[in-house]
Amino acid sequence: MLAALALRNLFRNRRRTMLSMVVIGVGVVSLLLTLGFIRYSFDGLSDAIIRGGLAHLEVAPASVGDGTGNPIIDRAGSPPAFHGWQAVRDRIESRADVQATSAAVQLAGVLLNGDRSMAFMGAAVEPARQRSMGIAVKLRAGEALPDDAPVAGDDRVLLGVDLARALHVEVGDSIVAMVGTAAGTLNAVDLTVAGIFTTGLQELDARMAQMHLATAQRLMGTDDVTSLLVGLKDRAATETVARAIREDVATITPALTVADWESRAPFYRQVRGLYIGIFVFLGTIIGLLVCLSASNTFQMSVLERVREFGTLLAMGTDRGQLARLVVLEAVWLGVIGGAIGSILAAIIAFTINSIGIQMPPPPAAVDPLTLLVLIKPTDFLYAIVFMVVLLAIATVPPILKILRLQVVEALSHV
Amino acid sequence: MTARATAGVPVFEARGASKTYQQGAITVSAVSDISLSIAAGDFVVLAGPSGSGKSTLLNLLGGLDRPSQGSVSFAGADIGASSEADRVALRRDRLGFIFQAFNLVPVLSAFENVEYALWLTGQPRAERKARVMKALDDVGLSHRASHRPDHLSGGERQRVALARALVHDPVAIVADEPTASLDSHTAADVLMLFRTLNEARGTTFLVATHDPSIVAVAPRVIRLVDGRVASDTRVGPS
Repeated sequence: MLAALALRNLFRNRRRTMLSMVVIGVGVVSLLLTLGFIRYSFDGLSDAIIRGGLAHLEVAPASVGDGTGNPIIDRAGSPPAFHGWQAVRDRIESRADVQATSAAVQLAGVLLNGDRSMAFMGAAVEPARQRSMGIAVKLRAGEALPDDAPVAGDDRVLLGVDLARALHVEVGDSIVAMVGTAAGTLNAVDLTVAGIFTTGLQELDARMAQMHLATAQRLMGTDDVTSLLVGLKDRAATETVARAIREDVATITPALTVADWESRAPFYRQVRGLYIGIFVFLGTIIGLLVCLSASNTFQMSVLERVREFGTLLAMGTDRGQLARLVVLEAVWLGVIGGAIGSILAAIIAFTINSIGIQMPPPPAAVDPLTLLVLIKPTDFLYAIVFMVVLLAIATVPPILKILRLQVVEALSHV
Repeated sequence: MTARATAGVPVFEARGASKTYQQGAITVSAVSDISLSIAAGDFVVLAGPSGSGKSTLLNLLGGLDRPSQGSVSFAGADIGASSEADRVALRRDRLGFIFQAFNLVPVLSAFENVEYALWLTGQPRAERKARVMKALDDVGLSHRASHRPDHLSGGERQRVALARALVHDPVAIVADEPTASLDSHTAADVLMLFRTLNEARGTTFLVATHDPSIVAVAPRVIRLVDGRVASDTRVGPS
């Protein structure tokens, strides 16, 4: 009975209720669209990071790396130290949840083009295996590295766009790569620029080069690799598979570490932290607006009904029941306003996703971003619950007034 | 469900009851040193001019307010000294209230307004329905059960208020100026209904009014002047 009475009370002053619902609806739309955009950004960024070369998991000797998080930077200065990696690869690839693995060598050195020289960080890969893991190079010019191991004298390289620009080279030009070998000496090799690519990040485009695994091993005089990159069939299983592989390689010496993509992507963590901060800030502002607006509505609503509350109290309604009545009005307002906002958000999200709005590249990124909004069904529920909680908080001042109400005074209230 | 008044024990009783209000630095006395006793089944009118203290005394006897001095009891229990929860239970279970302005909940139908009083007592829905329809039938309004107050006439609203006050079978009905908002013809109808229910059910009626037509037919009239009992007249058997 109280719930039905609360619902009807909501529509006593239709204009005020509608105004409150508009505020709640706009709040829900703002929250859902922001959340949807942030989720899309997270999804897109994590996918770009995984398919950009980090893969889902990396298995590497525990002794290598300085813990900065990014393996490209982290291990580039250390010679490959993963012995017997082929056997480990066979064990990992026997798992049903693993898509493929790819051996990788990270190296650092100097690239020379006549009198121009640039320091570089290199990733040596197995192109065919990387492709089967879904890792793709974003070529801006030229072609990808050949799948087969190149013979000596036919070594090729892909250069980051800004690195190529700094070296004044184009596709087909020859350059010299000079790196430290596993034995601690210097070695150099002639490389043909097969293509020019972008990592999506300006910082890396100015430093990155990519070559075939065989080229790097020949250059560094070793058969070892830096790490094994593991591509999974399902990103959601990353934690589970990482744990299983960790147990599987636990007996191998020297010890191996298994790291997931997120722990090796400090940029992702920073962006995620930034976006979450923005979302929390926005949520706080919206929450405050809704709370203040609704509190005013409830205050007015209670003030207009003081005499009626007096009557209900006189009839034997206890103050707790009256407080519940006001809270139920808040719940109805939150549910109806939240539902309207959710429907609007779904329509707007669908429209935005259909249009495909292009956004400028995010900070430090190269490619423009297509504005998409990914809203999960549970998001609607959370948004409505959030609004209901806010509105319940907004009922505190009017409820305090009700608790102090004197029956006789309330009955004579005009 | 409803505990009836114990035989021989007055339903309402006041002993030296006074009520004062503080208006800034001034203490205003609304009623002073009131002593009276109202038996079960009585039909008593509190009469007197405006400001004589009728409503204040009604509020004290109805458990809506506490006396500043003296005591007020209902069926032998001192309600001036009882807890808030006990006073709520008293009003909910053993009293029915009727107000000058009807005080119906505008968003509820006549049926729902009456049902609310039963809902408070925890009656199951099925039983509520039967009892509400019976109460509306008793006041001749069962055909208007689905109408909201703004679609009812003044007399019909007061009948709904009476049904609401009676539906949980209270020991006593406390009515404050129940005919003041009604025309004389409708007021006479409502008054007739009060008397009929008083006689048929034995429900005690305590009515504050300055309506001479009610005063004229009341079996017992307590006149208040300046917050004191000026006379207590019984005209024939109640």
